[in-house]
Parts: sequence; C-alpha cells; structure tokens
Amino acid sequence: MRPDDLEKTLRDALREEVAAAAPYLTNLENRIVAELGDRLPRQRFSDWLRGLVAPTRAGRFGQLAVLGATAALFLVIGTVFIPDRPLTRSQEPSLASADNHEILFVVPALDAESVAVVGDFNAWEATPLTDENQDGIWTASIPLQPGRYEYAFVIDGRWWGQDPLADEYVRTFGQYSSVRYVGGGGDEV
Amino acid sequence: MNRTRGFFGLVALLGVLLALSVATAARATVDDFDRALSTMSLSSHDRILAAISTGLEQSGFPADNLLALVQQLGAISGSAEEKEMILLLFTRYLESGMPISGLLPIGFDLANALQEGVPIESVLLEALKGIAQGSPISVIEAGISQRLTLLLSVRDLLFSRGVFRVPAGTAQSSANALPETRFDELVDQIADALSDYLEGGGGPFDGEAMYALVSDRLGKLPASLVTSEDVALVLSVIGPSDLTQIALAALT
Repeated sequence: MRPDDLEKTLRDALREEVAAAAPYLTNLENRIVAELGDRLPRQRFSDWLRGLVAPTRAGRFGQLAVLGATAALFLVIGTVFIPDRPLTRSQEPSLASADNHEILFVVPALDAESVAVVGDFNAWEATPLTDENQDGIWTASIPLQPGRYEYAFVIDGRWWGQDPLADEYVRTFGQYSSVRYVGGGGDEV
Repeated sequence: MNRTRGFFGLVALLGVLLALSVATAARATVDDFDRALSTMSLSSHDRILAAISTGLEQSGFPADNLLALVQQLGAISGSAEEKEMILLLFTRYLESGMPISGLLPIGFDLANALQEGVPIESVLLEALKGIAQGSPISVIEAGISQRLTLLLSVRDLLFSRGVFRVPAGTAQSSANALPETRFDELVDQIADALSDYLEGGGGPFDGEAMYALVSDRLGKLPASLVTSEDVALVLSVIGPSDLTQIALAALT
C-alpha cells in the first residue's frame, strides 16, 4: 500500500470512529457537571464548624463573636480548674479523625459493561461503579478518612490508572495508578 | 524360604504404614489452621481458611511453614488489621492460583517487622496492588522486599537523627519525640515516595530529586495526619545524601 493510500485509509477509519462516538460525546461535559451537582451533600456539622473558623466571607462577625466568647469561657475554665502543668505532645488529642470524607469517583466509559474502582481503601479489591441512567457516566461515592490514597479503575477487566480528577499519578509494577489526597480540602463530593 | 519372605514382606508393609502415618501426622491440617487463625480476631477468617483448604489439596503446598507463620502472627504483638492483611496477601495468592513458596520468607520478614512496630500497611497494599494488576510474582516479591528495606532504613535514619516514636498516651517532653501514629505516617510516606521514585526509573544518586519528592509528598499530607512542625522537623534532620544511601541499600 502506498503512503497516500494508507493515510486515506487511516483517515477514513478515524472519521468512522468519531462519527460512531458522536452521539455519546454530545453534551458530555454538561452531563458530568449535572451528575456532580446531584451529589452535592447537605451541610454537615463539621462543614459548619469549618465555616466558623474560616471567616473568608462577609457576615461572619456574629459567628466569630460566638466563637470568641466560647474560647474565653474555655480559657477561664482552664485557668481556674486545670493544674498548672505543661501539655506534652503525647497528651494532645489525636490528630487522626474519625470524620470520613465522601469521595466521588467518576468515569466516562460509554460502551463499558462493568466499571470498578480498586485502591488502598478497599485493599485493591473491586468496588463497582454504577451508571443508573445509562448515560455512560459511571460513579461511586466512597467514604474515606484523611490520607493519601492510590487507586485505579478497572473498565471491562482492563486497568485504567490515569483518572483526570487525580492529584497525581504513580507508576509501579509497570502500570500507572492515580493518587488522591483526602482531607486536604476541596476533594469532598 | 517362604517364612523368610513373609517376614520381610511384613517388615516392608509396616515400614510403609509407619512412613505414611509420620507423613500424615507431620502435615498441618485444616483444623490446625482453624485453631491458629482463631487466636486472632479476623474479619476474614472463613475466607482465609477456605483459601488455605484449597492450597492443602495441592501437592507441594508448604503447609507446615504456613502454619508456623500463622502461629507466629497469633503470638506476636502488633495491629490486628496488619496481621489480617498479611494473611489476606497469602489468601489472594492462593485465590489467584499463585504459588506461595516464594512469599513465605517475606511473610516471616513482615511478621518480624510488625512485631518491631514497623508500619507495614503500605508494603502490603503495594503487594495487593501488584496482584490486582496481574504483575509477575517475582516482580511483586522483589517490590515487597525493597519496600520493607526502605521502611526499616528510613525508620533507622530518623532514630539515628534523634527523632523518636512515642506510644500513644505516654507522657514525654522532647520536641523530637512524635506520637506513634504521626511518626509511622512520616516513615511510611518517605519510604513510599522513595520506592515510587525508584520503581519509576529514578536513579539512586540523584539525592536532590529524591529529597524534593519527599518534601513534596510530606507537604501534601492532610494536617490531620501530620503537623507542619513534624514535616519541618523531619526535613531538617535528613538530607539528599541520606536518601541516596537508603536508595542504594534498597537496590542492593
């Protein structure tokens, strides 16, 4: 086959592929955004508390006043009732929190039969993603404690380790995996 | 003549029976494993036992060595979750039809490290990842050994630089003594970052690159796991040349 013919064949094949995928790709970004929007959680107590200590918006003066008064009360109680002994590091409350963060995993896999996520959080055993409205966008929401998590998707039995939503990627045993840092802010559903 | 032949026949028969009974008695049974596993509170007890039962049906299965490992895990101190993860690693091997003979010495190394208080969870997770990826056994086992070496080296480096691990609830006053969860997290993340670097093709002599990678990794950890003071302390006591030495030790 001459180079010109080969190029034409490749171009035709590519055109056919794009034409076949076009119906699925239409409005894909909006559908993903809508899916994410549906999953926005209700405000939790921890979020409300975080709002109190992060006065970045107007109108928090009242909340800060409450916080200040509470702090003053604790200071008074501490001065009066707690013996005069320095607090060592080991006596500090544990930094590890039982507070889980709902992490959303999203994969656009248009013709997939099955999609699962494997990672540090499930000892690398498959947790299935679902596509209830069959629009090709598979999702799963997994509660995770703060930390660094490696994971990958398995789409119809094939490893897919480069999630665009990941914070970084690592390559081990010859294949990529994605990494998310949970609890650093901004990664909850 | 017939009497002599009959006598030797009887002796041979007795010998065969004796050999069979010795072999049967020496080989660990499902009940032995059940008893040994029951000494630990395992959420996957049935799954682990089922995998071992399948293994026992195979010829050449190192039943006695595996039982010795299970018994050792039952006897040592250490996190129940990590003990279960070691056993799950063997379970996954067996479920995937992979031979466990090469994994057994590593299992004992992991048990010893667990007893010493080394945070081995990330090593186990990396091995489980290798199985999930379908990586060759030799690659997985080499990876486990390398990661374990890195963990021990990083921990020893911090000890040698005066950064200590203090059990939860123990009063102490030195700024260099970190609560065990935070100390373990730092050791784990430094070792993991170095391992990722080496497995990704990085050279052990580029200490600056490894130091930058470790700094970046520690800086991204949530404040609920390690404090910025912890990170600053660790980064102030280790340097690029230390990381080069550790990487070289792991590679050799």
